[in-house]
Amino acid sequence: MSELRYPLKERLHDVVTERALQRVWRGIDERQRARAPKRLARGLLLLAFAGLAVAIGVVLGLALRSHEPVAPHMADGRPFVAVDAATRAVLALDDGSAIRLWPGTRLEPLDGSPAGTFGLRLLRGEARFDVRAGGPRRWLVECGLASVEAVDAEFHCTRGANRLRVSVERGTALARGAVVPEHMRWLAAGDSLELGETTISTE
Amino acid sequence: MTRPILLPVPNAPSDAELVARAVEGERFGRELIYRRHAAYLLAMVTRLVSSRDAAEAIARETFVLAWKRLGELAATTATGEESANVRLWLSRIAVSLARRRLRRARLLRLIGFGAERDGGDHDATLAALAPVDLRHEARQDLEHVDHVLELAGVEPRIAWMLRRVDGLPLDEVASACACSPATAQRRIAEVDARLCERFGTPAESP
Repeated sequence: MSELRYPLKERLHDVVTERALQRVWRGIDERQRARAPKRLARGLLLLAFAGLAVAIGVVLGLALRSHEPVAPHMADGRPFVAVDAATRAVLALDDGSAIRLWPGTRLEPLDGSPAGTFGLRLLRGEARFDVRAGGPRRWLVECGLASVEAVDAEFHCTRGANRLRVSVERGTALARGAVVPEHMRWLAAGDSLELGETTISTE
Repeated sequence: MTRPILLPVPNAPSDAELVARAVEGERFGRELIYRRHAAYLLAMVTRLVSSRDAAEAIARETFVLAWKRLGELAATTATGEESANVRLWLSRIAVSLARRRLRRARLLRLIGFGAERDGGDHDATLAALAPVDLRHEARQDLEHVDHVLELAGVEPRIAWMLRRVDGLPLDEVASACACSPATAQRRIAEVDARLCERFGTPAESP
C-alpha cells in the first residue's frame, strides 16, 4: 500500500512566479482604473436623474399652479374690481353667484387671498352674497369685526361704524373674528350674528 | 522558474498599519499587502482549482473585492491578530471565489460543456505540479488523488486540499471554508475515506 505524506505541497513544484504575481497586480490595477470612469458615469447618471426629478417637480408645480381655481369674473367676462354702489345693484358672476349691493356700499377685492379663496372686503354698507356651489373657490368676505367664509350659502352682511350684522339665508357660513364668541361660529340658515365693539348677540 | 522573495525589512509596517494606510487610499499600503499575501493566495488557489489561469483570475478578483471591503479588513486587523487575520480574511474571499468556479465547472461538465479533466484548463493538478524526477508510482498516486478529488464534492475537495495539501490547521480550514471545525473535519474525512483503500488511514487525524 502506498503512503501519502502530508502536506503534499512540500513535495510539489512552486506554482507561483514573479511574472504571475506581476500579471495579477497589473490586472488589479486595470480593474481599479476601469472602475473610476464607471464611478464617474454613475455620478453623472445620478446627477442627470436629480436634474430630471427637479425638472419634473418644476413642471408639476407649474401645472398645479395653472390648475388652481381661477377667481370668478363678472358674467360678462370682466374681472371683478372695487365697487362703490350709489344705488341698489346686482353683480352677477360667471360661476352663477351674485352679490346684491345697497346704496352707499363699498366692496373691493381682497389682495393676497389664500390659495383657493376668493377674497372680498366689505368696507361699508350692506351686501347680500349668494355663493353658488360648484364655483371654483371658497368665498371669504372681510367685514371688519369678522370675516365670513362660505362655499354654498347665501348670507347678508351689514357693516356700520364699529358694528356688523351677519345673517344666513341659505346653507352654512363660518364667521371668524376676535369678538366672535369663541372666535369662530358656524351660522346655519336662519342664524344671525350681531357684533359690536362691546356687545355681542346671536339669534 | 523564478520565485518572488520577500526580504525581511527592519521595522516593516504591520498588517494593521498597512490596512489603515490602504483604507486612506494609499497605493503603497495596498501594494505591500499584495506583496505580503499574494504569493500565498495564488499558490493555494492554483492548487484548489488546478488551473493557473483560473487561479490568477481568482487572485485578481480577490484583491479587487478586498480593496472594496477595506473597511471590513480594517476592523479585522484592529482586533490585533495582525497578519494571520489579514491572510485568513483574504483566504476566505479567495476560497469563496474558487468554490464558485469549481461549482460552475462541475455544472458545465454535467451538461457536457466543461473542459475535460486532462484538458488545458487543468494544468495545475497535483500530478502536473509534481517534480519531473518523481518516481512513476508516486506520480500515479498523485494522479489517483486528483481523480478522487475530481469525484468528491466541491466542499470536501476544498477542505481536504487546504488541510492535506496546504497543511492548514483545522481551525484555519474551517475559517477559510466559512464553516465550523466539525464540518470541516467531516468534509476532510469524506475524502480521506475515498483514499483509504489505496493509501490507508492518514497518520494524523483531520
